[in-house]
Amino acid sequence: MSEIKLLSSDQATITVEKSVAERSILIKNMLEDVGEVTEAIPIPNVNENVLKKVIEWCEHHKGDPPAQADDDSDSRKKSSDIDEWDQKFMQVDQEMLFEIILAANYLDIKPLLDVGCKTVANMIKGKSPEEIRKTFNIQNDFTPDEEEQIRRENEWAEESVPRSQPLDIDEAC
Amino acid sequence: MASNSTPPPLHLSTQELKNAAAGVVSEQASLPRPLRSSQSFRLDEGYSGQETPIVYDEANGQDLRAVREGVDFKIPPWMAGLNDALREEYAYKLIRTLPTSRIASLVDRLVPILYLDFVQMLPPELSLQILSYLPVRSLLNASLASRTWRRFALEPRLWKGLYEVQGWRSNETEILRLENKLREEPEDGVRQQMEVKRKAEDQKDEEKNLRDIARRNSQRFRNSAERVGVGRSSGSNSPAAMDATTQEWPSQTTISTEVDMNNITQSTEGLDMSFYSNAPHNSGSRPGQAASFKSDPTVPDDEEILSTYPGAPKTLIPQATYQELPLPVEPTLIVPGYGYLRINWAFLFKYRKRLEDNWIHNRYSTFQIPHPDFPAEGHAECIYTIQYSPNYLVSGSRDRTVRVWDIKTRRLRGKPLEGHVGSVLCLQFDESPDEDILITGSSDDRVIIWRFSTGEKIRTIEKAHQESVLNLKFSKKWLVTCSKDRFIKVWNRQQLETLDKDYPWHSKLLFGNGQEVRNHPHHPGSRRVQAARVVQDPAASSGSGLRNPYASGGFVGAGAPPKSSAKTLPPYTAVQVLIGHAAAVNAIQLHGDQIASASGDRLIKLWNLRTGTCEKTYVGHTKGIACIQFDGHTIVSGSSDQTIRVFDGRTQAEIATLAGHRALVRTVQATENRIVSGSYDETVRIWRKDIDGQWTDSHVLRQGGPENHHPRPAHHAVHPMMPGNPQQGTIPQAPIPQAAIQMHQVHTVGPALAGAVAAAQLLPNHHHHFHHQPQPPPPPPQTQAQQQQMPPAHPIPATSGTHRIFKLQFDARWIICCSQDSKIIGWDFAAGDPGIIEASRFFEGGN
Repeated sequence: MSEIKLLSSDQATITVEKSVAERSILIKNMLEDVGEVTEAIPIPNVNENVLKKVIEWCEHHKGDPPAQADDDSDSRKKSSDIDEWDQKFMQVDQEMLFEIILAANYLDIKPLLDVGCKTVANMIKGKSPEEIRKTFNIQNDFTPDEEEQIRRENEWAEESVPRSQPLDIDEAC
Repeated sequence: MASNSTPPPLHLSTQELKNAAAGVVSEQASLPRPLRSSQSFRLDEGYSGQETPIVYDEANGQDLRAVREGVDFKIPPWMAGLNDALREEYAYKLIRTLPTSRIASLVDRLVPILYLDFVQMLPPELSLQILSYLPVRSLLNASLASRTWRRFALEPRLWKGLYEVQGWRSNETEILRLENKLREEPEDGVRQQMEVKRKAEDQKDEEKNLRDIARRNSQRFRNSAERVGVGRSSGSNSPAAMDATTQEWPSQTTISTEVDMNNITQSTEGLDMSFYSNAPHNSGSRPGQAASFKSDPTVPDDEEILSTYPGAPKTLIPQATYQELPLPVEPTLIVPGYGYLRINWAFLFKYRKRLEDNWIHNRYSTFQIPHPDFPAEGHAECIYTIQYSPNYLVSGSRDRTVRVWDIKTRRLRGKPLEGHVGSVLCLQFDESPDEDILITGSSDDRVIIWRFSTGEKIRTIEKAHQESVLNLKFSKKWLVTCSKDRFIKVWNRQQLETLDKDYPWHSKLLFGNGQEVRNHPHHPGSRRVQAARVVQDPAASSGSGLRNPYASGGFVGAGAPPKSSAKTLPPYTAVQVLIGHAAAVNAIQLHGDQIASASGDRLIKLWNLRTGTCEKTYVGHTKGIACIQFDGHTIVSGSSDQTIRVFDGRTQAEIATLAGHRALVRTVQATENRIVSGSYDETVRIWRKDIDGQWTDSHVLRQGGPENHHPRPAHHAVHPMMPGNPQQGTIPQAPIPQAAIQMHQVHTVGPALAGAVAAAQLLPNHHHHFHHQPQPPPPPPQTQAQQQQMPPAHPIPATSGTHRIFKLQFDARWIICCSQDSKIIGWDFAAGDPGIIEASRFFEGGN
């Protein structure tokens, strides 16, 4: 099992199984282009802590079947659908979470990017505007008047449906 | 694992100090670089020396600002050199020396470090990807968080995704038309449009600002990396690699936005992903990254890199760049996009939702054709068939005329089309300029092809069938007709040469003696080869045979039917006759090469148009079937047994039985979530699929209007269909022997209903001659079994006999139907809502 070395932005060298590192399409393509590499591959956008975390994810998912091109539409529909291990994996502070998302994006690890984004989405789901602001430290820059107007406008989504609910939008998504 | 306990020595370079002054976090290389660059709060690492002057303890009367200015907050090098754990410990000890009020204020200052406004930090694509996982209500709540969030949450692409997830379809043509128009329009000088254009520019700026933020984040990454010396010590190739990433942002702003829009307008598939996901962009830059990984001579030095992004590391982005334009509170149809205007899917979603609510709550307005002010324009007798498009409605009547109506004004267009000498029973039209066609079928056994735009007769197929032409459907290539004579016929619409790939080599009608069907339909190639071999000799010898894809087959196989009669087929030649039904074929549906047919013999059959073979038979209805819809997957049919049944096209399983009508179900149309049916019980019923996928009887509409209301149970049971479901027998009714019912119904032809008899026979009839009615075949065993369990038919309701529904069509907004009455009635679920009316042309129309 061949191994390669990755050099994090903060100069830490991490040895990793090649097949694991190749979960990153960026690295995979690099390796395909350069062939044999002996020196460490610099991953200049990702620091050691994050890189280790990303590699941990890649190791756990190294056996996953390659993503289907048409998976996206399906996965979009059920956002809370996160694998249990992934859920635990994503229980990190927000900074780390967003770093992982950025790293997954940079390294082109789409399934990890999706899991990260879904995790954040789940932090928003079901929350009131005020709770969302708190969760992400967002400063409310609406005037109370504006806020009230928008709140009223948003009521179009609220109409209740008798009996069964074919249009329960929250369910359907 | 590199250890945290051996941090590199701290060096406070000039660059570092500059960075600190610019608000870039100065910290240990071993610390995770923070993402924080938000304007919504100030960075405060506590020891960076860069402090926001927050006066938080006025009560104590201390001027903290003065305190801070007087004190050097630089962290002593010895402390900065400690590892994280130790520094944490020191900090904790230090904090514990403070009074609780101080600790509280400290917590207030620390909280922002833990809670990050990702919308301001992540590249916009990633923020949008996150938001794309949100359901509607959460997204609307998010839109209230802040102005920036509102802008993101109302991004049309998110709403397009939500729209599609609902299973709602849209009118792609209309959307494309508007998108194309919008792209041209900013050029012309209409003031209002200029106004919107200006907004578009602002939006563009704003997009750019968003990208600036993202760029700054990337820059921050690199900046930190540089500080640590990654770039230099590792062969200085990494900055270039990063460069590739960071450079994507500006280029996207200026160039690829155009491409984005092309994607949107030209392909509706996968466009969301191309935006949300960065993967495509990465792949675009991959070669460059890989190259720079290998070779570094082109790597610019730091200064060059920095100067590429003047906004990035050294200057704070001014607060002003976040000044946002006020978004209108209510969504508008058109919004600024990347340099030009776009369709606002948030608008379409909102009004589609409202429209759906109107369906659910039975809110509609009604209208009639002819316009009440011009009753003379109407048909003289009852109307058997209609079809409408966004612009026109065409109706065919017992008065033997076909009338074309302007659907907006509800006025007759031109004169009634005369040509048939019997009732006009079926029609289909396509007004598009490349088709410009209307085809009608009649009880005079004829099919007439008209030019839609002028109403001129192009062609009459005399004796298209032996008896009434009950239904017809056409596609670009084929016309399919069905008749009371029990046959289905396929006609070519274009002239077919023997070299044409559509040439009907498998036609038993043209060539066959029935032997061809012995070949399995899934091996058409071999048969085609056989066929072509025989026929194309002259062409082949003259060289044009090279173009014949079937010409290379070799020699004539034994047993091939004689094809020597093959010749050019002029348009509207009968190329197939589909034989199999034992009673009148009342309705057909054409889908690609498949024909679904419904017959008085209680069977539904699925045919392959090319081979002419019946591929599947669907059993379930206990009496003749009057109407059918087939979308390639699902068959929905309505029958004289008063039910609507839903079949899985592939497995032939009966998925649902919809009971509720009290007489023959004469017309039905279905979408994924909704079925609308019309019956001889004078009602139109709306059925909808609930979240469990079960069909529910939702509403009953009466063409006769409220005055004709018969009190009826509000809700009829829908039986989830399982084979032999005993539940079917639970409708409380006095059991009547099945045979008796059938006898009864067979003999009540006339004003009342017939049971097993085909729908067409029930047409008020002055020219139908059906002395010979083929007897329904003995139903297959399963049907027999089911029949035992079927509830006996309801007694025929005493109706006025003037509003039996013959045909209906519906779309997202309208149901329009015709009946025994000479008026056409429409229900408009926009119910006068101007927003719905504006949006509805982008919703799917009709079939």
